[in-house]
Amino acid sequence: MVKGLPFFKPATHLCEHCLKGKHQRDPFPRQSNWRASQLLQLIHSDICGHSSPTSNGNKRYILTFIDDLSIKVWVCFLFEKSETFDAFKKFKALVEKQVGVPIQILRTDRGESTSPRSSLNFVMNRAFKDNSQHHIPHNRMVWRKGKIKLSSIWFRVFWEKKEFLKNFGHKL
Amino acid sequence: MWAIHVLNRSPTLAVKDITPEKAWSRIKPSVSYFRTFGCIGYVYIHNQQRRKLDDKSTKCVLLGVSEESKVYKLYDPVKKKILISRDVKFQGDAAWNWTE
Repeated sequence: MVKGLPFFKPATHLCEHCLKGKHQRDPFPRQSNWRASQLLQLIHSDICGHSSPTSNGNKRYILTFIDDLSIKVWVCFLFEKSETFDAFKKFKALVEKQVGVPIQILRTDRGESTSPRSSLNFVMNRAFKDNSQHHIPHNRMVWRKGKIKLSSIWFRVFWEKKEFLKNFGHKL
Repeated sequence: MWAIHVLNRSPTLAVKDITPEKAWSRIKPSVSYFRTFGCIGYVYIHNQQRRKLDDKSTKCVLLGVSEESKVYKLYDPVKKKILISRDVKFQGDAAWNWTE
C-alpha cells in the first residue's frame, strides 16, 4: 500500500442523478425520428434578425414558418420582434382556413431570437404540445432549408440595398 | 417574397418528386408566369388614364407577384411607385440601369 494516502470509504449510496450528470451527453440527433404525416401537424418557425441595414420597407426581422410535410415556407417581415405573435396569429388563421385542420405542433428553437416578449414561446408551451427537449430543431433537413432560404432572402433584401447604398449613397 | 414564391415551386430533397406547393395544395402549380426578378416590364396604361399623345406604357422593374390575386407587382423607379398589373410586356434579359 502507498504510505500517506488517506483511507477512503467506498460509497454506500449511489446517487442516480449525480451519475447522470457526469455522463457524456448524446449528440443532438442529425435527423428527426419522425416526419409529419398530415399537413399542419408540425410547423417549424424561426426568426432572423436584427439586421442592419434594414430592408427598403425598414423591416429588420424575418419570420419564417415551414410546414413539415410539404416544406412549404411562409415568410413575414417585421419591424419589431414584438410583432411575432400577431404575425403568427395571422399565419395561423390563413393556413387553418386553407387546410381545415388546426396546427398541432409549433416548434421553434426556443432560443434568444424568439424573445419572451413575443409571446410565441408562451403559445408554444401552452397551446401546442411539443415533446422535443432540444434547443435545435429535430429535423435538420428543415432547419437547413430554413437557413438556405433565409440567406437567399437576406441577400435579396439587405445585401442589395447595402450595395445600392455603397454605390449611390453619396448621391442620396 | 418572390424568392419564397419561387422556392415553394422548386423541387427539394425533403419532399420526394414533388414541389412544396403541390404537397401543400395537391394542385400542380403553374410556372408559366415566371420572369426574372428585376427585369424590365412595360405596364400598359389603360386608355381612360391617358390622353391621345401620352405613352401607352410605363417602364418598370419586376418585383414579383401579388399575394392577393394573379397579377404582377412592378416598381416604377421614376415615379417611385409600386404598380399592380396584368397587362405587362417583359424584356427578360434587360435590367434597369440604376446608375443614371
